[in-house]
Amino acid sequence: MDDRPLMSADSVTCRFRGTTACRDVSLDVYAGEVLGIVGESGAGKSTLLHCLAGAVQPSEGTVTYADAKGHDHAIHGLSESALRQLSRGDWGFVHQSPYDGLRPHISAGGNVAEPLLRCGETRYASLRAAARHWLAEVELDPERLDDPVRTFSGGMQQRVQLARNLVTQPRLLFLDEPTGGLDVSVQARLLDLIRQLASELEVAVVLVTHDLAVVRLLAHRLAVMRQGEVVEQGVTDQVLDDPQAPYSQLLVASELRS
Amino acid sequence: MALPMMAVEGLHKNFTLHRRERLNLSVLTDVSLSVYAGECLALSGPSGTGKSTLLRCLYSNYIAQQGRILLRHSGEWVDMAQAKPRKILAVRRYTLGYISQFLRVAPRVSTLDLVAEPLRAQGVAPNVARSRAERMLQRLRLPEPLWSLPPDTFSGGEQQRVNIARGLIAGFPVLLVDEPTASLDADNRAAVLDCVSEAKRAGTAILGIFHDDDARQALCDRTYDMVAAQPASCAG
Amino acid sequence: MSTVAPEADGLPGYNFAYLDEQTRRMIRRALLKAVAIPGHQVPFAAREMPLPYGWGTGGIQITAALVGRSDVLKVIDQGADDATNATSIRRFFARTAGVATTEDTSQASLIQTRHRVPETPLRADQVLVYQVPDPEPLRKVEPRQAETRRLHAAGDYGLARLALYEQVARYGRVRQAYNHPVLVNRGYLASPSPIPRFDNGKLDDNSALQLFGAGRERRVYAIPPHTRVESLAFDDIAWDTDANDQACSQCGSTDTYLDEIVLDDAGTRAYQCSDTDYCGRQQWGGVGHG
Repeated sequence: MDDRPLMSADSVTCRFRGTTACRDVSLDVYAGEVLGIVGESGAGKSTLLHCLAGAVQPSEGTVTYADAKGHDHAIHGLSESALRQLSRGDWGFVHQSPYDGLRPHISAGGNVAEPLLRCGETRYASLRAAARHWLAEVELDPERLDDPVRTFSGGMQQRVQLARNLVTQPRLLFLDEPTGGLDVSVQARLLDLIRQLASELEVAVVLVTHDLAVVRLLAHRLAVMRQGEVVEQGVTDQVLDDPQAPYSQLLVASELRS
Repeated sequence: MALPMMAVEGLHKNFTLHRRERLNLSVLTDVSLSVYAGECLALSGPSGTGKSTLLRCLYSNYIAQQGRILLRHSGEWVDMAQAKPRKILAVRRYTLGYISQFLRVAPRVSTLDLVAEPLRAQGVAPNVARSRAERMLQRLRLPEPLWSLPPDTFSGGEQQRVNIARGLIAGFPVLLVDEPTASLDADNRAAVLDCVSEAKRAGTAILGIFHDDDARQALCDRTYDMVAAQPASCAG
Repeated sequence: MSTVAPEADGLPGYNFAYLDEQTRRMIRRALLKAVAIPGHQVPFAAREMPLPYGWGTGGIQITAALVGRSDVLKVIDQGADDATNATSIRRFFARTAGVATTEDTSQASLIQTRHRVPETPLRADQVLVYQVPDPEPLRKVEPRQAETRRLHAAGDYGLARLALYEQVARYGRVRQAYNHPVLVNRGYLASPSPIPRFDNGKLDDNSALQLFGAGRERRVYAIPPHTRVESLAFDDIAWDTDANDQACSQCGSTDTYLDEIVLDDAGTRAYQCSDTDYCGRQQWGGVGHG
């Protein structure tokens, strides 16, 4: 286990017109590890995720990313093109709604191939092969390679979105409620896939969800957010089985158990 | 001369229930013990004296309020009561195993892969990990047709053995065990005890809860009495 | 056919070539910038012209900015010198600038075109001005203007290739018959104005200066002489020039861009050169290219 974080947030605060979406958040993300962020809606989870991904500028604090060569970058100080380069090659972002992360009228293969195209791949055969490979990896029928994604079910679209985010073999994957709105069996399949990726491809994953069962299975470490603040952080099973903060205790007590 | 693998010093554990007017429950008071390599220490005492809680504290599943939990992890002492989450995860990956009473695993993953998982986490190649998992499941007498299935539909005894296989496969130097032979029939119990004894002979330090006398007699070298060792603790 | 001598020295009461001198200068400055950054769309303060958008207001402003008394102007529309649009623009400059006009490609110093590149190869002393309806090659793949500029700035043309990918995946080949985007000088992606894909090759290493004007979108861009221009494509799929295997029914050419003309209700078709000047020259001039 490499003990240098891939990404670190240091005292990050995001304010929008008077409201504070997240306040003084510090956390680290490591290769091969899933960091879960839980909390009720409006707790600032998504804002924090977008801030880590460079899409939202923090009002205070810094987010540092260590690239493959080991150089640190304060991502909010990067030029737009440098940030673009990172976010299209090194990072992936899976949105809650597949329509935010996919082009519905483009084929599944095209959607998966796009990040490679944007990284400069110009051989059609390589694009096809990669699209086919990653669709199979997310357990989609390669026969549907050329079907527009709008003709896919929600769970399948979410898998196309995952494939699209894996095709560049990112080092860091941001997941924003990736299994929200999916039925249970599809959700399990997707979770299993994410789990394997983190462990076998050494991808660092930041997973935002309100589903404690999901983080219990997936996350190595967990941060609990409430009203923009991280109220508790630790090893996932510790936070869920012996929550210390009053809000964490409430959250855990509200969990439905199967 | 056996090497001390784990030393617990002055451990206290209480639960503060914020949702019940900050009710404070004290469960462990001043627990001190140590476990040596190749030795098995049994926790004894009636239910409600904190045996399982102690195991969970030692695994850092619960947070201890006071005291030290020293563990020999890759040549150095780590205080699990103070360790950062990353350190705890590293200790769990390489040094400390925990066989709980319940199997809590990802859905849809085959039993074989679940058993191979601790080895995979240590970076063992997939085929090597799987063949070691096969051997382990064989020894624990889990029928081969079940290996490719996820264990959620298994009987209690079968799930228990999957859990034990996961705890034993990586050869952790320190092992915490919570009633490993509960709900097993005689033959399967013997198979489990055989595997655990072998781990012990190989130098694993074991700390466990054994309600079953056969298991205790077969494995345990010493007993830690939860009632006698702790000053009268008031729960509630 | 032949060159028509100037009628008069411009139109009384109007500026030379219609636009006032400061405007002509402003446009020339924008063009200089465009030449300096090949393929990059340079904004300019397009003026209202006495013809509607879509009829060549961009091209006509470039021509107005460049034309001088000694120029010989040729105007074509879809390759034809005698189409309405071409005739009126030619007439416009003949009257407002008193400039000589011609239909002969080799005689012209300034050629304004809509949707074609002349078949006769151009020379270093010639300027080709394109009328461009939409200068943004990424419009179809990214509707947000601000985002297309970011993509140009980052040289991120993956989206444009994605459109090609979809065509190849669905139809087995690049199906875009016209306005196929080009990479200029290995830098910016540009719209070749809607010329047929057949003509894309003529943009590359052309001896003439090629200027592009979009009046409604208020943009000009340029391909300087002898600039490398590549059609956006995949490395492993051969570029298909979209040539058909017909011959011109008038001059017999097999290597020119042909118009397909439906002759009757039975669907009988005839093919004929889109470049009327070139076709006539093949029939009566008896001379080859140039």
